[in-house]
Parts: sequence; C-alpha cells; structure tokens
Amino acid sequence: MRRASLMPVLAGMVVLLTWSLPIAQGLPLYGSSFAGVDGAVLYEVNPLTGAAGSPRATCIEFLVGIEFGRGDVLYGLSNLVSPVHPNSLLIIDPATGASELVGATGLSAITEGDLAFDPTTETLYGLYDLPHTGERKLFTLDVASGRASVLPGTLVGDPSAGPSDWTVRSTRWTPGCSNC
Amino acid sequence: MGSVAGMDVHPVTGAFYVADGGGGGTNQLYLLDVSTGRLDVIGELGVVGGLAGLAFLPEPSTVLLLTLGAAAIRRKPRS
Repeated sequence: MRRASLMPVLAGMVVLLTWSLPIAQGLPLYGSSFAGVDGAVLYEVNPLTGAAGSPRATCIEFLVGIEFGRGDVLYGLSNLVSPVHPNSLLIIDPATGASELVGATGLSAITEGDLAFDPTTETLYGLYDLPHTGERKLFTLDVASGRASVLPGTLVGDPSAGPSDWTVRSTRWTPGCSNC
Repeated sequence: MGSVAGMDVHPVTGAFYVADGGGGGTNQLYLLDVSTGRLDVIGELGVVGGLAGLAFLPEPSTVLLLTLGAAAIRRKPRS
C-alpha cells in the first residue's frame, strides 16, 4: 500500500528531471556591449555558436557589466563617464532592453568592472579598478538603493590587467583574463 | 584579448564563458578552463566592439520545479 502510494511521486520526480535538465542546459545567455549609438546594447548570445543577436538598446552609455540577481532581475553597472547616471546600479528588462535607475553607488571612479551574484548568500557584488594603480576594490550593492559598501582590503594585481570580467562561483571569486 | 570582456559561469554545467571585445579584441566567445587558463574558441560574436558583460539567466528554482512536478502529479487523471 505504502509502496503503491509512492509510485506517483517517483514517476513525478522522473518527469521533473526529464523536464528540468534540458531547460537548465539551454539557459539563455545575455551579453552587453560597453557603448553604442543608443547606449550599450543587450544581446542574446548562443552559447553553442557564439553568435549574438536580438539587439536591444539599453540607453545606458558605458555599461561595464551585467548580472542576474535575486528573482532573475538583471542588473547593470555604469561607469564614471556615463552621462545620465554615472557610477550607478540599474535594472535592465532582458525582454526589451529598457533600463531604470536603482541608484547611485556612491563610488566615483568606476572605469572598468563587473557584477556578480552569489546565490548562496543572495549578495550582489561589484568590482572596480582604481585607475593607474592596478588596485581593485570589491564591494557589495544594496539592490534597493544601489548604494555600494566597499569591502575591506584591496585586490592587488597586474596594473595592466583590467577587472572587466569577474564572476562568482559559489563563494569563490575567479579573476578574468582580459590580458592573458 | 581586447580592452573589454565579459565572463559568466553556466549555472548548471559550471562551464566558464568569456566574451572578448574592444580595441584589439578578437570579438569571439570562448570556453575558459579555469584549471589551466586555456581559452577555446566557440565562435564569432558578430558584434562590433564586442561584449563587455555576460550573464546567464539562472536555472529555474528548485521550488518552482517541485511545484510544477507536484502539479503534474495531481493533475494526472485517475483510472
């Protein structure tokens, strides 16, 4: 009796795995340009071929990085010379590219950088460099206000290597290789 | 590689993807082996200036999938 009652549950789990695996493997990949005529452009990128398509203007000039955060919200980080909202956290609608300001980070010198989300702590991180010093600062972002809180310490590396591409894998930061 | 680049990790497979662009960039998408630093070309991005950011839409949440699975079980017609 007990075994019979478990059968639908087990069958459901098989169905669930059958459905979820292809969905997970075919997750959409988005890419963003740094600048453009109507600001940075959001693209859908085919992870199998590399081809980027479906361009959508974000109207954010000088967008240094994008990342999905909690609730699949897509965030963008603008740099210091972005004319409308410099050094700011923004939300981008992946379907249309439309953007809206969350708030100024309070930082003043974002030139290159990136965003990364740690799903285990639901923390949105940012990274930016201090020009001409080779030092990088890591900060957390308040997704309600856009305000940045710089974490203690400084990441010191090759001054010629930009911090334009970082990511979080679990709780481990992995440096990019923009000049490898 | 160029002056701008983007990187993200596939939420399920753990594969590292790198997009390269900007001045002197190759304008290509790569797979990165983080244990060796080796980059393998996937293909041309086809975007002037390349990409500065990459982001995978996260995998569907376990809770959502369990909910869908439970709904599918409950809807199964009984004979």
